[in-house]
Amino acid sequence: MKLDPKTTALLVIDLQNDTVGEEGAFAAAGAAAFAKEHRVVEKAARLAETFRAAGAPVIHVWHIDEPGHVDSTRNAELYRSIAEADALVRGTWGAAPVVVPADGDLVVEKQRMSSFNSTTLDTKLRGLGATTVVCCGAWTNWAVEHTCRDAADHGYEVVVVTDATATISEEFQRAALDYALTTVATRATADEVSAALGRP
Amino acid sequence: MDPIDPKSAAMLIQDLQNDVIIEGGAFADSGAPAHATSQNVVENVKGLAAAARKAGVQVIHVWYIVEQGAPGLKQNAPLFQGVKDANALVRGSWGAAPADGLEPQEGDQIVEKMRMNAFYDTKLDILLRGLGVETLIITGAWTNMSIEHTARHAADAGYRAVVASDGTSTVDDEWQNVALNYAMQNVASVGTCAEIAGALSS
Repeated sequence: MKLDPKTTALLVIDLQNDTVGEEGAFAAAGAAAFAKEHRVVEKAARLAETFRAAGAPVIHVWHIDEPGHVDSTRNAELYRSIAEADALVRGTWGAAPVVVPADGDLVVEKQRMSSFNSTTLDTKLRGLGATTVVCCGAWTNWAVEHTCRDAADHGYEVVVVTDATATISEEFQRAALDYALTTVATRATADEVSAALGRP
Repeated sequence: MDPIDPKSAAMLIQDLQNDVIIEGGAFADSGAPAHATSQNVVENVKGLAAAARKAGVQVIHVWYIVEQGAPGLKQNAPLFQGVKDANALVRGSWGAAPADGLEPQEGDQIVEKMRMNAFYDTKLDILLRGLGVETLIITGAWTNMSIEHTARHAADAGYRAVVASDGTSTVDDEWQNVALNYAMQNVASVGTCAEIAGALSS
């Protein structure tokens, strides 16, 4: 695998306190333990450094709900559970990123599962001239997988970082990485991505 | 399953085309025809579509169609390379035609697509909004590819997604299980065609 820093963007998806933090709203589901065991936050942060050093764009995607979740359509259990846990609310500790943006990074806010749904992500990627997206973050089988699927439909080459993605258990991680994603994305470790950028 | 109001429901029959699920189709080597047979997907979907039409539910066929040579089908992922390499789903061919028994009936709608998600750059969302649809019943193939992607997008777009466990098929039971029993559990309601038909009349 080879990645051109001029046409490759890193997406850091939903790495916020509520999704992976030990005191986060979904810690009981196993999300915090999984992220900690696999040092996902550390690997994603280091990958972001590598992209910046290579001159490649880093885009943070955050799930942000408004207070009271007033404009969240609660048509699926996923959105009901976010509202019930009062998670990812603008301005709270839970919504704050665990991988902090550096100067020059871009931020995209979303309210749904896919990073592409009703956001400026596609516009930004086109404007940056990105043709490849490298996806890391949480949770692997929800937002990350959905973003990879949408990226493929949109025409991007997709790389999913197998050891810089977190979900609630090993079983869910395998369900995300070993099936449908094999037909829409290249799977690679953070080290493999760094090497492909020419920054081992 | 919670009741489904037929007046605000639509049923998708997605990608149940010869190349996708029938012996002799372009992807037969994947095991898809055998899984479609073991799921009895054609008969189950036919039955649910009949019940849906009777209840006044709009039936919408979603077909994956490319032109000869797949021009404009960006080859950025193995999925799309597979469609082009297999010369699959070409307009006017047997492979692109719906499986026997699933031909559109009068009053049905047809949506064409050329990517995985039935919503992506198609008229599906416009049609559903215009019809006042709130609940989307999803049947078709392959469960872990187009079906799951469409269910995920339906949830993101604000619809109540209902996926038919025996009105969908993929390449084998393991892939079916992974599609239905992980992320899908909090994105959509999953039930059999009989349960969905029951929910329509309750």
